[in-house]
Amino acid sequence: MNIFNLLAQDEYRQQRTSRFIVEGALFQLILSFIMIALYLNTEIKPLILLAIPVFFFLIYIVLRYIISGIEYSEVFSKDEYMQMKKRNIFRSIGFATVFAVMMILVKSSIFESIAVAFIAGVLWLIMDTISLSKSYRKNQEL
Amino acid sequence: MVNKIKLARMEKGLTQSQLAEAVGVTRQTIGLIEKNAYNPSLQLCLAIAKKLNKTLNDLFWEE
Repeated sequence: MNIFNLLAQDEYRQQRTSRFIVEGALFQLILSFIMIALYLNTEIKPLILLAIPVFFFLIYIVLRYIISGIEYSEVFSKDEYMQMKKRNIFRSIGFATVFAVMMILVKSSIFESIAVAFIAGVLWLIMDTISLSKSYRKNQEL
Repeated sequence: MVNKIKLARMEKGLTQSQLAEAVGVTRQTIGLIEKNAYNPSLQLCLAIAKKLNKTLNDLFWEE
């Protein structure tokens, strides 16, 4: 089994995604050394120092993936773009709804659960919109 | 890497989407290859050449 097939079936997307992961891992390694130095010389909690490189790694990969414009590789026309935009809005609403229900089941505060789910839904939509817009612009040049 | 895929594809009367589907990649990848913005793997080069009934020399050799 080829592990790259887990990333994507398309070889260009596979190559780009693996590149982002490698870059992220390299930054994570460098950050980890910085965090060790901080751990030895400051009073910052170890858990925070441990979490920073991991979160940086995850955020870096997601941002690079979104900005690279490889997610919507089949969106070439204005119609496809608008259709996908509409689909993303419904997907975000669906995601926020499921998230809110899960939060309400786990937490007791309804207001807090809805607020967090709303923010998550908006962030999801923003990421999807940027990714779609970048992909569409990239595809227009081809 | 300069290539003549676009020309060969048009001669064959295929769209980017049709070629992409036939060789198992996305239309974006075919577009990038035609624009010389991405160097495909040998496996993909062979799949494209077979689909277009061309040899690798026909598609990728620079005179």
